[in-house]
Amino acid sequence: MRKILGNPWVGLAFRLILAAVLIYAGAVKLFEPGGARDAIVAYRVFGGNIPDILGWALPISEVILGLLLLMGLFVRWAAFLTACLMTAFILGIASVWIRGYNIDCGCFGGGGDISGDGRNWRYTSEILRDFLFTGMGVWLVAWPRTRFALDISPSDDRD
Amino acid sequence: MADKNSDRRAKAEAARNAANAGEKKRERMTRIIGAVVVVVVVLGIIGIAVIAKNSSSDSSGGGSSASADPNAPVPTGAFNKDNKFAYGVSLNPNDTAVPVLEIWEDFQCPACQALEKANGAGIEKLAADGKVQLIWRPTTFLDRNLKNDSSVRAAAAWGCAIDAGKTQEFHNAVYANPPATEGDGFTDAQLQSFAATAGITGAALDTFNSCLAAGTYQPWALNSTQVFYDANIPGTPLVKINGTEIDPSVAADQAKLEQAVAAATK
Repeated sequence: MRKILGNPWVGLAFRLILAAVLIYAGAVKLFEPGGARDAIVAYRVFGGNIPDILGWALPISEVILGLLLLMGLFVRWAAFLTACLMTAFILGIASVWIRGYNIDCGCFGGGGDISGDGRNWRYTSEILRDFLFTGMGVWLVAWPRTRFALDISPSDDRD
Repeated sequence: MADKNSDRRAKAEAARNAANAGEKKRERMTRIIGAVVVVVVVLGIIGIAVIAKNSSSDSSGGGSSASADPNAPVPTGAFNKDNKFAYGVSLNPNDTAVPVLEIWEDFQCPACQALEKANGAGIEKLAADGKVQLIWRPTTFLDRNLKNDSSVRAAAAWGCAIDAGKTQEFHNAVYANPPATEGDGFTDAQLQSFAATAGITGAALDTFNSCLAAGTYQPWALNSTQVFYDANIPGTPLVKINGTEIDPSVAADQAKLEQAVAAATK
């Protein structure tokens, strides 16, 4: 059997997990009134009309990255950008947490201010989850060759 | 023998090169096709999202037929468009030497209702005692999320009540009777009953009813909502003392709120 690190089957699993998460998260936001604008405003990071622009740009980027990972196209780049995006989400949630606001991260739609009940566990689990996704992205940057990808397939057993 | 070997090697090399070239070509093709697929799918999703958005705002109102107009009339005593607290309503606008306590609220917002229930009376007492200048800043942003028009209708009804001199009473009557579940909204009959609860009677009630029916203050409510969006206010309730946001849990606790007010009082 092949070794685990860089295993193309593991890579396939990571690709599909990230693709499902990204496409779902992006599509949900696109179908919400106002896109993800209100959720972004709640982070109190961006001013002016940046939330309006990001409210559309973010979900569209998520869907594009998700589709690329699903098809296995430009895997290394798509995975790199996904890892960057997830890192940005981690920083966003951490900054909100540090500044003491209680918000719904709006990760999969929704968003805005909510009650502080269970805040620490909620932020912790969201950050852990995004760390996990970042890790999958980093894996795919390191070993972009996976099964059933439109990029050169490793099925010819060369490396 | 040597010739044969090198010949074989050359042939194998040529075959490998041809295979590599074929693979490169194939890969370029798949990348182009894949990129086209991505673009088409993304454009399709955006198109569907835009259509869904338009049709929902056409059929269910998603707000109201009125539109924001900075020059539309404001209720008696409400701040006009040029004020720092444009379209806001103060119980004690003349207390200018004390900290300003601003509260952004949407009448359909359950968290606002919770805040009012927890400490609405305490907040109003601070204004009555002249410890703060209380400014209510209405927003109707939940209409868009809840796909109804109850926030703008309730805010416009409040405007009519402000004209009748029952600013505080009507405001509190609405929050004392929240929708059973978020999104149920308010009927016109409910808004009229809030006016009665607020103590609007006789000729004043007639005036209130015609003001409500005409939607006189819907543009005012939408103007204030536009300020809410332009200022990137993240949600409701949002409480500020002298322009600095404080946690809603502070505003909900009179002792903590008094502390925060004292800290802001010079």
